[in-house]
Amino acid sequence: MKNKDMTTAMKNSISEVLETMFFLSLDFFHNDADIRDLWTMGKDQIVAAKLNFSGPLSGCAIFCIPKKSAVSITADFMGKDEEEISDDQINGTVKEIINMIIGNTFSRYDPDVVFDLGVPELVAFNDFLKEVSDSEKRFSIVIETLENYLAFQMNIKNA
Amino acid sequence: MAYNILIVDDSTPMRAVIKKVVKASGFNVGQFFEAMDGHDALKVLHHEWIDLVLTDYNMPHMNGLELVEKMNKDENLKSIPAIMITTEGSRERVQEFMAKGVTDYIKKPFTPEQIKQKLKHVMGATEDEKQRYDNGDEELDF
Repeated sequence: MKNKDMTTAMKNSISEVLETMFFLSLDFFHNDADIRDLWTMGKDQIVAAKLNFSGPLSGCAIFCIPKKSAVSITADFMGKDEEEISDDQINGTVKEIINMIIGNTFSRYDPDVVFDLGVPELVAFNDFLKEVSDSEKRFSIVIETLENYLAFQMNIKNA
Repeated sequence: MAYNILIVDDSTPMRAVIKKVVKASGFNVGQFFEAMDGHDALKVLHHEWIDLVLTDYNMPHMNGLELVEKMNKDENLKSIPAIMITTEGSRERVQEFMAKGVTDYIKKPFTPEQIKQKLKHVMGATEDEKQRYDNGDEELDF
């Protein structure tokens, strides 16, 4: 597996998904940022969604976003005011983001290979930290938006 | 003619967005119906008149491909076009979709224009087929 190719595929997918469907203007932060140190708010204010995958590579991907930003993105996505947005809608949007980005990443990484994606689920931020320590190889990408940081991490167990 | 559309996706926001985009595309919609997975969709399909199914692939309980396979085995449902809206983009997976009876597919992320073109393409073809059938020309093939 070429690290550079996977990182490029992830970045291109993140840009395409967040700009096309969520109207976000974004910049990539430096690659080696430690996600644990990104946010000063309480860990309960971070919404995290996880997606397992299997195929030539297996593992999981996790997307972390401060709840305040998740509310704003969900409202824009659904064309509603922030006051109208429910927790269910926020969680659904965050899960949809990880689903779209990872599906898109793999088809960019190698369109001739089939990866099976699981169903996205919400996880506690602390569970995310455990996944980090269990993985053989990981790719972290931090995005800076106008309001906050968002983070993606792909953990690969059979690299 | 106004078309009844069934949107199948386990994500509430995504169902809302697809509905919004279809409306914005100017497509003539009679009524929208929604389902959270393949099982749920089959219940709707057996109780409502549906002209087009827009389904996600990756869902719990019954995925979009299993839904299309069930529809194709059912005499009452097999003529309903089904468009897969999916993040799955590998060539092999897309070939599998088509081989198993999916009418067309839209890759996420999508733009309103892409949705509009696919709906026009799929429902236009269906209208053509109806016209041929009405004219007694049943021998047309691909």
